[in-house]
Order: sequence, then structure tokens, then C-alpha cells
Amino acid sequence: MPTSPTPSPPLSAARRWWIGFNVAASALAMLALVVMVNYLAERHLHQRFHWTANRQWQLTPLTVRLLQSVTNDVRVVVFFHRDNAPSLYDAIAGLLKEYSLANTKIRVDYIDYVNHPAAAEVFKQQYKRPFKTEHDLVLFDANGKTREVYDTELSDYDLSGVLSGRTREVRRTTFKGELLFTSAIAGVTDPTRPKACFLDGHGEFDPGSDQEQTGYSKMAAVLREKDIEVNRLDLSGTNDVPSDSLLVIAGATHRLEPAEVRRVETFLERGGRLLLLLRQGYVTGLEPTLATNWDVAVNERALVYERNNAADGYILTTNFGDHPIVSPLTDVGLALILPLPVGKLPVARPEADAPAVKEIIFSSTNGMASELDLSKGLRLQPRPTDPQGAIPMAVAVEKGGIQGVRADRGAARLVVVGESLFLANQWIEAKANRDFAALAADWLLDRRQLLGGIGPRPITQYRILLTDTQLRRVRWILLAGLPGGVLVLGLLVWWVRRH
Amino acid sequence: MRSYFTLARRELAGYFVSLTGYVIIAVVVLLLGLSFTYLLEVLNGQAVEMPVTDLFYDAFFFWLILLLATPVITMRSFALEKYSGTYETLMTTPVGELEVVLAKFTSVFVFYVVMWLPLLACLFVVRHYTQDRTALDWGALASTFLGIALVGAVYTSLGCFASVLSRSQIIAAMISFALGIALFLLSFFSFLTPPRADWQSRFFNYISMFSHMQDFVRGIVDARSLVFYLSLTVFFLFLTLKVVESQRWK
Repeated sequence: MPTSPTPSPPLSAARRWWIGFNVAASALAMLALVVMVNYLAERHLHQRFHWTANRQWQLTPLTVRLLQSVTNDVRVVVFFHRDNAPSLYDAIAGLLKEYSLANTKIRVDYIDYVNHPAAAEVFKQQYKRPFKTEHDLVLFDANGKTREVYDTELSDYDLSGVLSGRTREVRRTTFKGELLFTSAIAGVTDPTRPKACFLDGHGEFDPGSDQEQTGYSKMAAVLREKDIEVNRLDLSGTNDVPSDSLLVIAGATHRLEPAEVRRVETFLERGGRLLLLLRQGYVTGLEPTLATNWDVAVNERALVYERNNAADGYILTTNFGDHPIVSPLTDVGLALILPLPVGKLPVARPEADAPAVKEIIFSSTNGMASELDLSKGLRLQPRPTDPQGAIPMAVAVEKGGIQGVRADRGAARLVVVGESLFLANQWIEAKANRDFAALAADWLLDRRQLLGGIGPRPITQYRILLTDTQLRRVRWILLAGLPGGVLVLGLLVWWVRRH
Repeated sequence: MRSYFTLARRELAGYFVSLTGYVIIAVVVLLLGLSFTYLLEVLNGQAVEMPVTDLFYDAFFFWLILLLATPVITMRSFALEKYSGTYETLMTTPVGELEVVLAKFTSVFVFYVVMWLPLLACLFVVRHYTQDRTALDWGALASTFLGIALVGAVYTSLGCFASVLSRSQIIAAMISFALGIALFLLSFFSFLTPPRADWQSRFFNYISMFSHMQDFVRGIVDARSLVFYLSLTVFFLFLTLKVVESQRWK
């Protein structure tokens, strides 16, 4: 005889509580597992696969190798207000993300100095930077050794449209972020300390002196802040210029001996770096070699002045060439006192390793260069035939930067300025003179040419070009055609099923 | 496994043989159309440095579609069965709870992916008018769709979990929407605090869906993003499974 099934007894309260507890415990265990897996992934799983054809965000093997060799913490501070240049900011942030993922020792902080002024102030105090030039920049710091990359250095621009009047838009053509960032990291993590040797014995400015007029102690401090060892150098004996150092000749008032000039020439021929700061009314003895070997013209008998301000003797200029040393200074400018004209010799050299001379500081278009009557001190003798207009007062020269041409130390670099008082203690804080000193040292000591595998990345721009008719058509397609098509398909399916 | 496929096919057919699925897709296509029309009007004649995929992600419509559409397509998965009384019948058949959960999730997820396919048409329309083939990179397009699929996997699994909690589709949609919004808003913490190298900033950056999605639209597939989205999907599916199992005890 069949029996009806007996319903199973309901679960007791204790049993239900126990099951509920088990469910909650397993959910928590699962949550813990998810957290743990993600924690481990965040710390150790840094594989990134680049699917785009141009691999725009992928680091070059050279950068990856360098980052793998970094064992010290490197702090990167992006001191940037995004609204100034959104696309550049995004490119910087995207690139630095790749750096920090390639090596967790690279730690990136962002400071928006407009929205977070307190953090900006702390940053300025911490790095003892006056930042007179209110430019966006990226700072690299490893154990106190710092290097800055300014926003203006990061892109190449195409001005042809603006100059021809076709457009008011300055187009970015390349992004040099990886080249500059890798170079900066290589610089700050390099265990060898760069040296600056101030030439001594010819009446030069003294890097150890606090005198306002003749002392260069503040200039030396700028170099020390960049972790550059500052030494004096006497070439009168058998000493050579140390091959890995930056030679600074600051306002020599006595001519260098021929043997000393030869030593400087040899140093430069071997890829040396020289900061030559001239002084009005004096000859260093290097002028002939500058003209012959480096295509640099110095007129030691003339002075540059502003025609409407000749009596003051100083020049406040914001007229600069396109060069990494001066491009961040355009807002504030430099203050120079009675500079000599220093420019590029108009010679054409066919050689592949001919010096590349760039005039970097100019007077305003109101400038004039007149010869001095040395019998009457520094008195000018203006003549109608004197050069007028934007007179060059400094050049930056590079020679042998082509790969394979100079294998030992890379390119030789020179910066020649027709003035030296502007970096003395009394004047170095004027305008952006101090920033100039720091930027010149950065450029002169830079070894970025050794990073030959990293080039600027082209920036692809495109335009969406639609006539009113086309725009109307697109609107119809996107707002009516496509959704309507889907609805019609749905109605069709529905109708077929109904019938 | 056979029952899993049978169930998934039945669930998927539920979207495509009724008008509901087409209405959802039509609304999504309309929102996509609005987004692209807006972009074309704003950028017409201007020089643009971003690829087209990056442009679309920058418009807020992407997140709007994600947040609104997923509760709507997931709300019926369990709640409708409970409401119509077929849930008990389903659970008494010789089909495992895991198969039920996975089949419902699969059908919802496939519908979600199909829902996004018209985006391809929109992107090609924009590329056509840029007259530059490089404006749309195939790799970036593929990774963008991978990103959309991964974010969708999290949100559809979340929706399934919300749906299994209630008999009412409306309540399920509201729970799903609330949880989805909460997850979405967590991403904003990475903007509220200035990005630093400290652990808080790294944490908020890691859970920020904007940050993950930005990589995808740039053609970068980060293994951490895969782990993040897949682990969250598994977590919500696990919770769904536990709730389904608990029905037996009642």
C-alpha cells in the first residue's frame, strides 16, 4: 500500500543559525581571498600588453634596462597645473605611470600648484627652488640629487602655420618625455658625482667668496644643490682639466697662457664641457680658438646696450633663442650688465661633426653693439655703422653629437656668455639669472646623447571635418537610423512570433 | 554541462525573442548616438591628439550607459523567475546551483556585449569624417572592447546578485543600481586626493575604474586590471551562488 511522503521537519533555529554563519564565513573568506589576490597583483603583477600599432605608451628597451638597474628610491614630482596644457599633462602622467610600473622604486607625486598651494609651498621649500619662472616642471630626486625637466623642453612645436598667418594654433609635433625622463633618472641615479672646476689664477670670480661684487659663492651653491662637486683648478703647472668635469671660466681678467689654452682645447676636443663667462674689456686668450674650432664670434672690444637705455648699462631681456637652457626663462628674463656681443660666425662647414652653434640670448630689437674707447675706460663710441637690432650675447655649442663620430665621451658642449657679473653674488638673484645657472649646468653636464636609442615620439593629430549637411546626416544616422533600425528588427521578431 | 548550455540558451532567447531586449539595445544606441553627435559637434574643425576610443571614453555617456543598462538587463534574471513561480520548478530539476548561476550570468553577459556592438558603427562613422586611418587603431579598439567586457562582467555579476535577493524586478534593479553607483563613486576618491606615491593613493588608484579604463582605451592591457575585474566578478558570482544555495534550506 502506497504511503504519502512525509514532509521533512523544518530546520531548527540553531541549525539555521549555523548554516547562516557558514554562509557569512565563506563570503568573508572569499572577500579575503579577493583582497589578497588583488594585493599581490598590485605589488608584483606589472605585465602590461600594448596592443596599439604605434606602441605609443611602451617604454623602449633602453629605458626598461635602465629602470631595472635602479635600486635607490627615485621621487618624481610633477609640479604641474593640468589646465595649462591638458594633452601634455596626460602624456606625462601616462608615461610616468609606465615608469613607476616598470620599477616600484620610481614613486610619482603630483602637485597642482594652483589647486594645492600649500603642497606647492612645501615643495619649493623642500627643494630650495625659488622657481621664479612659474613653469610647469617634472623634478627627479634620488638621495638629494635632483634634475628638473621643464614643460617647454618636452615638445617640439610647428610654428609654420602661425608664422604664415594660416592659423593661430601652435602644433605640437613630437613628445620628448621618454628621452628627457630617462636621461634625468640616469643622471640622478648615477653614483659618480659630477664635478665643476672653476679656473683660478687669471683674476676670475671666486666661487669661495661671499663678496657681493667679486664673489661667486651663490653660483657655487647652485651647483652644490645639484649635487655637483665644486673645485678650483690651476692650469699653470702640469695639471690637465679633469676629463669628466665641467670647466667654468668666470670673468678672467688676465689672458690664459698658450699652454693653458692648449689644455682647454684638448679638453674640449675630447668631449669636454665648458661654461665660459666673459668680462667686459678683457681678453681670455680663448677667442681665436672659439672662432677657429667652434664658430663662435666674440667681439671683446664692443658692448651691447639698449639704445633707449644706454646710460644704465644693464640689459633686461626676454628675447631668447630656441634652446633648453633658455626656453623656461621667457616669462621672467635675464638681467645682464654691459655684455659683449657673442654670436655665431657666418661660416658654412660641410663636415658631419661641425659645431652646432645656437645663439641663445639676444638684446631686444632696440639693441646696439658699439666699440669701446678703452683709453677712456668703458666708454662707448657709437658709430652709424654699428650693428643694430637683436644682438646675440650668448651661444650654446655642441660638437660631435653624431653617434659613432665621438665614442669616448659623446658631444663636447660649450656655453659662452658675453658677461660674468650677472652670476656674481650681487646679481644672481636678479630676474631668472639663478635659473639660468642651474639650466646651463644641467645642459652642460647632460649625457643624454648616450641614450641614442630613445627618440622623440611623433604626435599624431587629426581633424574631424564635417560640413553642416554632413553633420545633419550623421545626426540622423546616429539618433534615428541606428536606434530605429534596432527597434524595427525587434518589432519584426515580435510580429513573426505572434503570427 | 549540457544543462548549462540549455539554460543559457533559454535565458538568452528571453532577451532576443521578446521586444524588451531590442528596446534596451535601441535606448543604448540612442545614448551612444547622442554621445557621438555631441563629440562631433564640439570637435568639428579642431585638431585632436587623442585617438577616437579615448575621446568616447572621456564623454560621460559611457558610464551612464554602464550604470543604467546593467540593472535593467540583469533585474529579470532571478527576480522574474521567483515572481512567476518558475524558480522552484527550476531548482527541483536535476541542475546544480552553480550551473544555474553561471547560465544566467552568461546569458546576461552575452546580451551586454551584444548591446555594445553598435559602438563599432559609431566609431567608424567618426573615423570616416577624420579622413585619417590612424585615428582608430585596431589594437586600441580591441582593448577598449575588452575593457567594456570586463567592466560589464563585474556589473552584470553584481546585477545577478541583486536579482537573486528579491522577488521584485524593480527592487532588484534598485539594489543593483545602488551597489553599482557605490562601486563607481569609489573611483572618484582617486581624484579627491592629490595623487601621491603613498599607499592610500595607490589603493584608490587601483580600485579606480577610470584608471583601468583609461589604459584599455589607450590600447594597454594591464594584467592587474584583468585580476581586478575577474576577481570582483568571481566574488559577486560566489555571493549569488551562496544565496541560491540558501533557498534550499528554506
